[in-house]
Amino acid sequence: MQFALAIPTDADSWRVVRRAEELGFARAWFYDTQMLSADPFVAMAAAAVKTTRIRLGTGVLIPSNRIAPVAANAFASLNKLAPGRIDFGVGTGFTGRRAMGLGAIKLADLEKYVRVVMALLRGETVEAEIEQKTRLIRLLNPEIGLINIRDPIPLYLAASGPRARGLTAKLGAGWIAAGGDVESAVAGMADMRERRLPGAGRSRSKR
Amino acid sequence: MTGGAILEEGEPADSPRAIAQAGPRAAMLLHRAADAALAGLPTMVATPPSVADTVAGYVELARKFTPQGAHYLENHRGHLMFVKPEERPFVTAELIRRTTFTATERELKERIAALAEAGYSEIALQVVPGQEHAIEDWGRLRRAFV
Repeated sequence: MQFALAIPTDADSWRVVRRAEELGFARAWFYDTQMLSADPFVAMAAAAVKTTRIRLGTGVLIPSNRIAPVAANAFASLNKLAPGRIDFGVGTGFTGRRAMGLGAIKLADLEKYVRVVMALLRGETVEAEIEQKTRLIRLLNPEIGLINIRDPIPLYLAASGPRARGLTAKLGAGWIAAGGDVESAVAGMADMRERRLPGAGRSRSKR
Repeated sequence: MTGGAILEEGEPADSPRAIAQAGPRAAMLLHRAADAALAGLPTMVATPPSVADTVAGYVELARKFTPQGAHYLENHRGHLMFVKPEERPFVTAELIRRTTFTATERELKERIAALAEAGYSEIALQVVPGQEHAIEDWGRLRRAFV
């Protein structure tokens, strides 16, 4: 079992992240909650240059609050500062959106967003909806090294409900579960394992 | 992803230290219940029966939050970071025990081992602003899993 840190983001979170690294923590997750805390990409950038081993992830990014090309660029920029240590954690937006009186975004919109960000991070040309129009976009000159899309940036989904866990399995993403109750966590993992079985999505859709 | 506090033997789950470190995480259930009652947003987690009255009491408090129609401003102030003075009576020892990883080191080791046994590979522990020293407690606990 590896230990990680979950941080209500402070502009100088790097201090506690650096200490966590010294203590052997494997990762730090930075909250993306604009009305409540500091900007995670600013804080992660500082942590990236002040640490050497610990992984740094958004915990979790809210798609509605950052358009996909901007998010992809931010991850690729961080990935230059901390090559191979960056994680893309994303969710439908409970905390960050509720602080503005909004509910979570639709899972279908989350899926579209994730596909665009991940395609951009693979250097692909991808269709994205921008200002209500679908157009082709691509990170145009990663080869000159201003950003880093060579080292992979793994995807993690925060998923509380069964449909979100299904999407996590469908995308082959890492799963972020939240809670303080072991019994529910164990039941959630059993469900997640079942959803990751080959053909699980098809058999469930027939039910 | 969770949060909590490592209690000394005999230390209550609502000690000042536990309230500071674990209270913000426990208050999530209160905030979500108010969102459900006042805005129809789903809670996504069941309310344990033992804290149902506590949660209902907070929801009644939240109905008075102003400005009316924007209760979420006061409801979410301090969310996951600090316990607001007015919500402190509802952040009880039972709420903290039920919704966070707050217990003695021995019990927490058992709970984390149960998560590992179930297949979890990582536990992410929240450290709230002003309580960064709690990382030392969690770091000590981590060594038991190396």
